Amino acid sequence: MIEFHLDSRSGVSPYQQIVQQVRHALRLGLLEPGDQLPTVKDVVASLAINPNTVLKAYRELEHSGLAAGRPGVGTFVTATLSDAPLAAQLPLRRELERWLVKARTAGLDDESIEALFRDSFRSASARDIA
Amino acid sequence: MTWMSWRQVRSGAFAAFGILVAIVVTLGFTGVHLSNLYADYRSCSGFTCGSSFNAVTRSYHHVRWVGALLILVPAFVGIFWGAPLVARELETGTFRLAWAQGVSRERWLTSRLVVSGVVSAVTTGALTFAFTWWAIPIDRLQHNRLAPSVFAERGIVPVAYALFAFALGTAVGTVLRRTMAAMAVTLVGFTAARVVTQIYVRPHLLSPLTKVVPLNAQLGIGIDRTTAGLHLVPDGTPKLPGAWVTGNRIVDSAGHGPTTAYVNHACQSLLAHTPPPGTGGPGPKGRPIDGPAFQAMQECLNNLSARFHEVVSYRPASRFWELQWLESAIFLGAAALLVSLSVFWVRRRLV
Amino acid sequence: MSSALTAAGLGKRYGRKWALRGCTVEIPDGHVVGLVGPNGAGKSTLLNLMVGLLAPSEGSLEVLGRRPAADAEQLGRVGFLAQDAPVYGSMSIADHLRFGAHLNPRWDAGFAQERLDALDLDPKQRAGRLSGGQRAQLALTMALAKRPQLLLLDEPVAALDPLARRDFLATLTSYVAEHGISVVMSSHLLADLERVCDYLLLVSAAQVQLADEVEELLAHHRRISGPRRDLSTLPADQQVIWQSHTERQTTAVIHLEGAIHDPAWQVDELSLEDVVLAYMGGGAQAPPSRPLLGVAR
Repeated sequence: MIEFHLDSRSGVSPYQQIVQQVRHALRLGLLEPGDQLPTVKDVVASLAINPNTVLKAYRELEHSGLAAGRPGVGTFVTATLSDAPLAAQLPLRRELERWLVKARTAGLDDESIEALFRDSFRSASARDIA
Repeated sequence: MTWMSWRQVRSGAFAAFGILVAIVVTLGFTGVHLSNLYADYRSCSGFTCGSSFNAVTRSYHHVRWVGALLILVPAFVGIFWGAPLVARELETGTFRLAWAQGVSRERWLTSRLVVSGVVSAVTTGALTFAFTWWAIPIDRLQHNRLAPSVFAERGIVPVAYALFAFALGTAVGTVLRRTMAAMAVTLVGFTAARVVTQIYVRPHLLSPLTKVVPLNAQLGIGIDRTTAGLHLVPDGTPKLPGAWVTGNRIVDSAGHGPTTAYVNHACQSLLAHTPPPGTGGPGPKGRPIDGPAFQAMQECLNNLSARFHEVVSYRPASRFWELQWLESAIFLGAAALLVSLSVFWVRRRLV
Repeated sequence: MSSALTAAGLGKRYGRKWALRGCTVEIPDGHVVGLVGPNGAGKSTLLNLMVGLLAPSEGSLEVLGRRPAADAEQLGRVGFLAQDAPVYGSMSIADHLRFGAHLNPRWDAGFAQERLDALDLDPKQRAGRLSGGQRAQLALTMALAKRPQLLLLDEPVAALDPLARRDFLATLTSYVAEHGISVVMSSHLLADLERVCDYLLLVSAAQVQLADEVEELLAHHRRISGPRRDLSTLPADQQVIWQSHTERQTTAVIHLEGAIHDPAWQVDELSLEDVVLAYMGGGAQAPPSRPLLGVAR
């Protein structure tokens, strides 16, 4: 069973943080299909947050096909996320490192690189949705 | 709710009960002894009767302080149990706890009033009963139960006073919302109510009887010597044992008092015997002391008796209980009004 | 859905001063409502009106569909925790619970005892000797053990240290998770409110400025910043709540219905605290041209 924590300064809403932490745990293999996620009551008691927040997070996970709720019992993991094999990630990583070198040579500092990446990521995601 | 009301007065009630028990026990032991002294008096003869009488009427002076306590107890009840009842809750904010539970405000107040009221009545009543019983021998010999100072320590009026003071305290506390201020106002209000009733109301509660008494120096008619002349003063009270004398006048059959001129004329020899004040004459109030002066006085009164007599207004001792019930009714009626005011105020005006 | 609170033109006056005026709002059931606003804004007044400890000077008010404190049953449905958690100093904790048991028909003694054990409180201890946090927990236990449908809390954690505050909120949210009651909680600590509340009621200057679900509020408010310009040029569906100008730059918090298409603006999302502060900002704001009150969705 994993434990959640909330970073009140991260700028990410509480329910998003829970979703992210579940996905992260799945990626790392801390959670496997069949594992039970902490009950709403337990999460609420340890984090002192609104139960609807937890319910919303779990609903989104269900929507994404990562978990499923069993009435009266709890919410259980149904899929994994560590399905992108490490091998496929290696060329992507190398390409990224090369691009980073180019960006530094062009004179961008850390913040500019991050801003550039974030903007491009956002507009790319928006285009995907549209 | 009853448990809650009791719990909130519990410590005060126990303290009161403790003191009450101590006093009642003292009254019990000394009362039995006093009763024996009285029995001795009843079976006395000759010389022993004098000292026997005194034994009853002068013993246990310190225990008589219980009577004084009985005068104060109603005030204490009002100040320490009545005034804080609502005021303390409002001041400390606990009314926000008490009035947000599953009972209405009116029910809360009613329960508090009843429980504290019963405790007040029981404590005061027990104390009054014990003291009245204790004082029976003294009262039988001194015959002054209707006297204002004694009346308030006997019978049932102390209970009525206590309940009135309690209701007054609660109402004042409810309206003023501050405990200390309420205590002060309750003290003043209660004292005023008692004084006003005792002086102005009580005499009118029973219609007085009148007794006509012929003028007689031995019955305490005094003569005052002023620069203008002689002046009759009804000085003592005639023998009406246990009665409460409220009026004492010297009048003729038409109801007029004697004028100074008339008295001067009827008592010329006495006038001659008594020098005007400021000239070093006999005794205080110009009352004659020497023999011939006394004769002149008797002659004067005889002359005046032809036309004048003494009219005494009084209530007889036998009407003691009637008066007790009447006065209690007044105070209990006032208490009921104050209770209604409190309930109304809590329901309507405290929001 | 039934409503926790329905107010129409509700107002309360103390002497000449209006503590609350023209309050017309409907708050649905089943939410944890945060009641925020500056000091003296009328938050306490509203809560006391809801529990029946105050009567309105004008307008009407219904809590859970009925007039506050209408009868014992209504009193039993609404739990209240007043500011500073008043308790009877000379009575023990056990006495307080007994008090609750006697005065509330639906008292859950098991729950009360459980809470006492969990808090490690000695039932014989006099309530006057408890710390602020313990007193708040006792008062909360009493308010919850009567099994209310709606719980009203007036600045319950204001005087508590951070740990006590966390414990208190954890107790509260656990209870909500298990029993689904509605809560209206006033507080200054906006960070706490963001994690605990899913509905917000903002009262400022005796008026209700905001009444909406937190999610909606966050979705419909943004901070925009860019080169200095006159904000009356903004599209009609964007309303300025707060604005600030320097020589070269304009920053504003706006309420919007649609998306922002102007590329000159840098757009940031806001935390709940930011939104509330913008509405409480005073001074550099134009009053909203349409009433921003809760809408039945």
